[in-house]
Amino acid sequence: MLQGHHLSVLAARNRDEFQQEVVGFARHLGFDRIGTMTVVEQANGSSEFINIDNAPEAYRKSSEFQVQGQQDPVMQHCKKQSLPILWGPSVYADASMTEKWEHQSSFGYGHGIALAMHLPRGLHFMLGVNRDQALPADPQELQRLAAELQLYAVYAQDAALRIIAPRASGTGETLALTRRELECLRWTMDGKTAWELARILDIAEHTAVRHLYNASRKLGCTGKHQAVMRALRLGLIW
Amino acid sequence: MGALTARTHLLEADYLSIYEARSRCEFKAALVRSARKLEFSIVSTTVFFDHLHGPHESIGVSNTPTDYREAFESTSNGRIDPVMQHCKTSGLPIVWDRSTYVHAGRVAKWEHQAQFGYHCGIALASHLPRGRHLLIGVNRDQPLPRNSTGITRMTASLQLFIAHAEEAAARVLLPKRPDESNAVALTPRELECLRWTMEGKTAWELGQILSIAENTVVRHPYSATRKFDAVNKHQAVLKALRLGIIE
Repeated sequence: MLQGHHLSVLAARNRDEFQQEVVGFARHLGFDRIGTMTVVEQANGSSEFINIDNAPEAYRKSSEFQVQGQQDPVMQHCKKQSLPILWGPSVYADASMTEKWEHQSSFGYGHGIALAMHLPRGLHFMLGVNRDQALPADPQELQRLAAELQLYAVYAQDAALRIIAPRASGTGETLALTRRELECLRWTMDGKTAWELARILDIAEHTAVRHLYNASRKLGCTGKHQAVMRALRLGLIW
Repeated sequence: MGALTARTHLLEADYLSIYEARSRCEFKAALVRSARKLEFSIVSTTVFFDHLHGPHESIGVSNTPTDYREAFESTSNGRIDPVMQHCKTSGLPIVWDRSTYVHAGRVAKWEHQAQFGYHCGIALASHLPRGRHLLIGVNRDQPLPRNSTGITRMTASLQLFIAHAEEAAARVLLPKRPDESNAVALTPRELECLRWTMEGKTAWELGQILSIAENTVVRHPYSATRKFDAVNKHQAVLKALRLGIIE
């Protein structure tokens, strides 16, 4: 019942089709440039970043493009917030980065809307549309654009995770840790010993030890306490 | 945050008022107002909080009629309701009407709820880190618009709305955890010992690193453990991590 763009991105089977879909949606919304970034936090503590966009080659190669992540005020907003940011030159001026804005605006990144979704299991998805032309001044029109992007992001994220990170997106298969292993880590976080765990979960003590050992191994940790910390960082337990 | 506030002001006031809601009351008022603007008379929001052991907690706000609540807000409702089932696993919105219930073989459930004004609606869920889920549903007795542009606009508004409600819902609906509400004051030495313990150092190693006697080292994590009401030094490290006292 929804408009075509939302459903067709779900049907994308690979990165090329996904890219065509998001570019088509951006044009429909009135934006020439679109960028998506999928972030997959790894068990070993590092993160994998996958960009699918239609950035011009010359812009991608420029040094300003490389430093984007650390300093760019729009990226900084998306890292922490889950609200869309509607930006133009003033956001860069506030961050004393007018020069960066001038550079990127020559490639069609003058004004835009960006948002991020922070998901369970250490997954993040960012979506931004960009153009030369300023955003509309009418708040209702602006709100319509932000809302449409927010809705599209949900569908695009679903497709992106399926295509890019199929391992991470499957529910239940949390970095391949079993429910029992997670349960054991969670009780260890509460300060329970393996013996206590065995009593609580009604399993043999050596089974509890094995669960903790397997969980630690999967997380690349040497002991159960370190494993609990990593699992916390990854958002596998809380 | 500065840029955010300035930019968000460009959006309509309802989004801002849900984002900034300070109490359950304000949250509910903003929720009902926004739903009315979308021409839905009934709205509900629920936060689900998963526990790895034990059942999940849920807490909600709604303007649901009392008699509906008495009839449906039991635990079995979620299991037979196709809209709830969808939201449990999917982050995509669902636009539903009688046919949704017919397909699921739950037409009796639909007929029952329709008596209370639940003919059709839109529901969606945000599945968030650390076991939090936020669910929003708007419902009405009037049919939904027939054209897809109208439905897309409604759904998009609701999706933007839930993005603004995420933080506020956790803030105003979830009870504060007792161990997080009162700050734990640690001495610099206790902090240092916890940090090294986090790195996996033993008491003996800590003594070498900090050039203090081993029994002093044992005492520092022990007093930190007591302050955190933890069972051992490892749990003290975890509590300090969760509270952001060490990183």
